[in-house]
Amino acid sequence: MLGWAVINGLSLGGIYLLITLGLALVYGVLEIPDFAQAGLYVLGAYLVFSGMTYAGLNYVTSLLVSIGLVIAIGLANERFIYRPAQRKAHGSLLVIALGLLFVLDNTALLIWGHEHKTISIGKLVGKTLVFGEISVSYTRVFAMVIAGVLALIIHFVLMRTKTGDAIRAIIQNREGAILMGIKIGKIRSITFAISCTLITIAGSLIGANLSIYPYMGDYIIVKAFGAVILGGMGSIFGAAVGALIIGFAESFGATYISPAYKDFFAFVIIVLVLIFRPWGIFGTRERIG
Amino acid sequence: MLELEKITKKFGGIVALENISFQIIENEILGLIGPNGAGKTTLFNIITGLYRPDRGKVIFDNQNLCKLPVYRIARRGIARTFQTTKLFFNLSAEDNIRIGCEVMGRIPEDQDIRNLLSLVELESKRKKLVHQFTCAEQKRLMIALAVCLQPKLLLLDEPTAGMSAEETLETLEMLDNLRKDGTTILLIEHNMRAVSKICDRVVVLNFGKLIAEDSPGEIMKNQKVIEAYLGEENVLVA
Amino acid sequence: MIEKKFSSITCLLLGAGGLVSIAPLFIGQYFLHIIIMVSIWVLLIVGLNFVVAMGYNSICQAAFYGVGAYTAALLTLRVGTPFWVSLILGMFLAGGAGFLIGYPAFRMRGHYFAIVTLAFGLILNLLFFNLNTITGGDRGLTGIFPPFPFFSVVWYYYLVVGFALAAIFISHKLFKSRFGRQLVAIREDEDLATQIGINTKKCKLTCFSVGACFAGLAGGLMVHYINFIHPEFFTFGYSFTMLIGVLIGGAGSTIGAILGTGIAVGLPEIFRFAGQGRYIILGIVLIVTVSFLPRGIAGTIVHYFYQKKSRGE
Repeated sequence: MLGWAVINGLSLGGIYLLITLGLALVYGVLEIPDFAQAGLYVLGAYLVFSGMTYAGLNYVTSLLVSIGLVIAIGLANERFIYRPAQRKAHGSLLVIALGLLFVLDNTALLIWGHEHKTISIGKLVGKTLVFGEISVSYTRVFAMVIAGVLALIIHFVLMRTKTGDAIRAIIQNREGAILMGIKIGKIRSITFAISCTLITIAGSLIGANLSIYPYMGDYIIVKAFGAVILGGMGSIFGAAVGALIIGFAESFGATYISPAYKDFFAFVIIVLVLIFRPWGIFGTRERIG
Repeated sequence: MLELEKITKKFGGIVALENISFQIIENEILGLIGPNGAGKTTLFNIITGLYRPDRGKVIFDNQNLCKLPVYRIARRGIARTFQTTKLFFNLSAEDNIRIGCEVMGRIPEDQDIRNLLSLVELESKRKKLVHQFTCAEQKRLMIALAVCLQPKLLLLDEPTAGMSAEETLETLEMLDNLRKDGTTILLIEHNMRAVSKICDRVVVLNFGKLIAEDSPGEIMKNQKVIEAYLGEENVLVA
Repeated sequence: MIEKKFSSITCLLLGAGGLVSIAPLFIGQYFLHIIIMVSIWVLLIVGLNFVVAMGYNSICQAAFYGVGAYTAALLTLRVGTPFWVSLILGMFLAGGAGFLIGYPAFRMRGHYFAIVTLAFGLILNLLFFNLNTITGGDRGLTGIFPPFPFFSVVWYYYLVVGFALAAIFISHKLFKSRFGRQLVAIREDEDLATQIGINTKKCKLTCFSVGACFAGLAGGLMVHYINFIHPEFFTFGYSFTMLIGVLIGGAGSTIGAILGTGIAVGLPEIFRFAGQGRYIILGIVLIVTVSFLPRGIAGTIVHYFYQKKSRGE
């Protein structure tokens, strides 16, 4: 039981990690609570599915093509919807993001319908890894590994590259970064592109492990945002930790208490954090909305 | 009327106020001066309840205000203005005042509103939207908004900043009239001429500490005060 | 102040009341049905309008709708209480939920507040789905009937439209009152409102609870009309659609709420031929409106006339 809860926690946490990282980066750099990422998540998953099912592409190719498409849509959103709205400096960015999510969700519903779809990654189907009493499917292991690898890559990019430095500078001190000559526009686009990539991969992983349906983004984005808040605004590392905490809470709750209420635990944590410690684990008091 | 007892406030590692104790006597105009960053606005924020002090009490009408929420302190009769203009910019001057008056429970007549606005010479512009006013007019409206709460204690944060000599004189006259009507005033000011003209007493802060408390005349001669301001240009005018 | 232009709303309401009373003589059952459904949405949107008028976007109105609906349904079905009792208890329980959720939620502002309401809404919806033994879960509950004479469509029509008109009247009176002006103050600058002595916490909780009450009442009315309840009626999608209506119509005025109802109900109907695409259109209209007319349609018009009046002097 414990083993299963841990494995589940890791794989769920891993996928949440990818989405949360993307969301945290976008929120930190662009200051947009971009709930529309959920829509891109759904769209990305469906595109990978379609690429494999209708165009006969293999997983990797389909994934790459989908990433490209999602980045295109994401950048268009940023450029034509968020940027002009931000210039007018009014507080309804969340509503606009939700509006976009609404549009994207229903677009997915329109194109692909209600039925749940799944992705089968050829080489991984049907094989399981067994140790002790626990057997874990290759797909699940794949998800965990990919999530881990990507987290490390992101860590590397953020800590060791010039772009990463610029991103961190903007998150910590926007005005200062601008004064130092960092090109905000370019970094915005790069951040968005990174986030879109992470989210499409996450979508495909969920598609391989569970299933894809049009509204799956809604719950996940609330959890991801909860993870960002739990970790603390402005802390990318905190967001990652938050994602893992939520993944584990959900997994343990589902295993030991009730599977039907698995989402419940994640939401309750979020509500509790928002009420009692809205600046999260690694955040500081002043940085609240 | 109001007593501050050992007020201390820290922000992280920075001590904004340390052991501030003084009294405001009923019906006086007390000046609060000090170089920038001395903690004057922080003190206002503590009195009005925006910040809670780490230590100390604010006693008004025999009650410690520090436990009360901001709106309750306002309703007890302490009103304030702000250094950066804070008004309902998208509403008319008239509506700003109307909302202020209604807080105390009564619905003001048109005439009441006009009276209040004429106090600050804005009666003719009462229907104009606040964002269309000049800076000085907005500052006067802030005072009117504070006054319409019928406060016993009025906290004014640099009311004459950016005003011409003439406007300053008008504002000072208005403050004197308010005092005659029974209001007590605590005044943050950088304009020393204004301070010496209108204040009965002056309290001086520097780096969060109270360094002097005396009449305006004496304050100007006070060695510690002069030293505190030495870095500032020509603030002390004989 | 803000609503001076529309003081003729009382006349409009009386006129509407008159029309409403004689309408069944001329319209068929199908149109009466439509008016009933629209009236239920009026209750929902007018209720939501109070909160959004202060600048707080609430995304859980459908959850309160659900609380009222399930309470009323269960009371009628399982406990056998009279119709009115079910309705009123449903309303109060929803209002209570509003108070309980609002109390912690209003410690936050802006999008943090919205996210908390979103989370609470999702939690409630989860409960509706999963507390099978009580709520019937995914199978829903059937057989919820109103008493004589309200199982006749015409009578129910009078009932629901009556409530809707009352709601509009209450909303109108509220926005013209001292309380209404305090809501405007909170929207314009909440910190300043607090500083001049407005008890913002009380205002916020009142609006949220009353809005939830309206939603709860709508829930009770809806359930006894279609005689069926299912958790699918109370999802985030509906909460968001209601918010869309309020934001496009214009929060802070009764006219805005009415317009908002029209949009939330009307747009999907007009574009019914587009199937799921109609929600895409709704979403796009929202994005465009919020970006260019942040006060909503009615709000922008009202503000335009307000500014015009100010230039008169």
